[in-house]
Amino acid sequence: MGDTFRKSMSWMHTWVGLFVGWVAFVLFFAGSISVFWTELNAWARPSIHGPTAISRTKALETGEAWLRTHAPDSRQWRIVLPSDRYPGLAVYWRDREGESQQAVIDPVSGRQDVLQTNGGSFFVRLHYRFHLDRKDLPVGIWTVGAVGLAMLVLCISGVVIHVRIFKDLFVFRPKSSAQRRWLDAHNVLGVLPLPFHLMIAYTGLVALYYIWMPAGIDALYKGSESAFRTDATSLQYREIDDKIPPGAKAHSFPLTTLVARTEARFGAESAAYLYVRDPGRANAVVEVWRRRDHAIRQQMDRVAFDGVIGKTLRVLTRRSQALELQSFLTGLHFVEFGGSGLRWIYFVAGMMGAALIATGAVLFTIKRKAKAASDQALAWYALAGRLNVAVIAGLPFSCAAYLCGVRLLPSALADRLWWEIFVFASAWLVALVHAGIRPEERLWREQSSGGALVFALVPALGMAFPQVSLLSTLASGDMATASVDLTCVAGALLLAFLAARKTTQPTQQGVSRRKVMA
Amino acid sequence: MPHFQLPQKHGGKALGIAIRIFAATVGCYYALYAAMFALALVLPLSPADTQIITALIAFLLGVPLVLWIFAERSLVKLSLTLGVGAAIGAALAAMVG
Repeated sequence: MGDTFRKSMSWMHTWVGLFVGWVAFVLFFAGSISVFWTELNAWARPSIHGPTAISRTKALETGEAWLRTHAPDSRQWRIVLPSDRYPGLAVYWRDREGESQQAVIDPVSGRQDVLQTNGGSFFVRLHYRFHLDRKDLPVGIWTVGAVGLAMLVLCISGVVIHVRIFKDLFVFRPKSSAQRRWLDAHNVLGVLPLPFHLMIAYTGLVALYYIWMPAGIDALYKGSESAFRTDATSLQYREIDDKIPPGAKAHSFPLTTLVARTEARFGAESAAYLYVRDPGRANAVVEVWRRRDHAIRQQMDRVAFDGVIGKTLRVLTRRSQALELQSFLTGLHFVEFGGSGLRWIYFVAGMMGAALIATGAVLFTIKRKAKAASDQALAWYALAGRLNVAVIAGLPFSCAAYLCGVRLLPSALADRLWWEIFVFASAWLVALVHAGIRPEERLWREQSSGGALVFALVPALGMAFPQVSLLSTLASGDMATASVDLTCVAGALLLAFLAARKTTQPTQQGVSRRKVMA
Repeated sequence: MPHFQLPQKHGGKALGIAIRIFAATVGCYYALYAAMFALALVLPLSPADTQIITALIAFLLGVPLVLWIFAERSLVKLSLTLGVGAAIGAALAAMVG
């Protein structure tokens, strides 16, 4: 391997890493939180909390009765049954305009929870499209795709330029210079979870492959993504065909029987949700989908039934090898399998990825500022340093502010979903402005302190809801909800620790600057 | 200004860097798109399988292609290779879209 090749890889790793790094940090941070999106959904709804002994049959009947009352003419229903991860009963339906509507119902009382919240879905949408709608603002999802590929490139180029990669894995010199410390941390965080980072970046691309590389769709489906998706995901018993009108009114086969027949095939409590197309009509079709946690693959097994006579129309358990491969790789990314233990491993490994990017970005500014040859260059690196703070410290701060918003915003507030996102965006704007106006040497400390304070506020605000306060969830064994508050406490302690330690580095930068100026 | 400069043997300063960045983004994407479009027409698989396999291959090929873009010394060779590929890809995309 020529030295020049390594130099060019080093150049690419440094500069691509800097510009992609800020976005990649958001992806890794939000993605790590997203592995608990279901638990966060439950945490965000104080009126529906587990664990409770919920009769799935009763929950299904409740959901069906609710939809019969509120969406009798809808062409598609979806009923998501309560699970050990999410105790609520969620119902979805298509309105007359074909738009998807949703309601969450307490499966015990049968009452609708009127609270509108993004819950954990907020982090999922931040992770894969920055909350930008794919149709209106595709720049979000395309940026994520580009950064995913760049992450793979950075991982490989990082290995290429790191001559002593395995030797340095065991080297961390906390008492050496700031630059050496950050480099050691960057190397350790890069090498140790390298297989995970490669896997998560590649499988992330595979998850939305049809968006980022639609050459096959363009060549073989004349560019029709919906035709491809119906074909690839076997959705013919779920999707509404506008050309076929709903049939005449007819008696419906009991949904509970259809779910019981599915669970007799796949195992007890194996049904996750069911779709009903044209409910209460002669052409009704019911499709019961199996839970995802029994296997790594993302595509679920399903059984479709005639909704009037209950005849089995299709049992879908096997697909082509290409579909199985894509489903397996996507399943690896979404981590619906393996239980909460594996989700915690993903969370920690993902946060290590975020820390890898953060240490790389900080290392860049420390190293370059020390070598800056002019005032102009120094100013540029100072700007990069301020942006580092706004992104690396500002994002956890604004995520914690979002969680506070979920707890604080009135449940009757109109457009509450929008206001929750507004809280997040405003908090991040505050972090950006703060990073722009405050003295450089105080930035890390102040933003880390602010983040610690806001994280500590999350479980404190939960005390306003006695049924989901940290003490009551711990006492009742509702560990899914308690874990969210406990993680916020851990986040607050970590940021407070970092704020207490973050005093030496800016001083050293100041020394370097004075040397340069001299 | 910051030290943006690549090693001299790799095409030097601003123009070389601009060409490489363009090549690593637009050029790389459309070159891969063209290759996968052509592959989709000849692969003996079902249409759905073909789309999946071509996309998975494209993501794998994208990594060495970007590395090559920053490692290749000759900007002329780089521009010609990716330029032709990207032009075909863009033309195919425009034809379909």
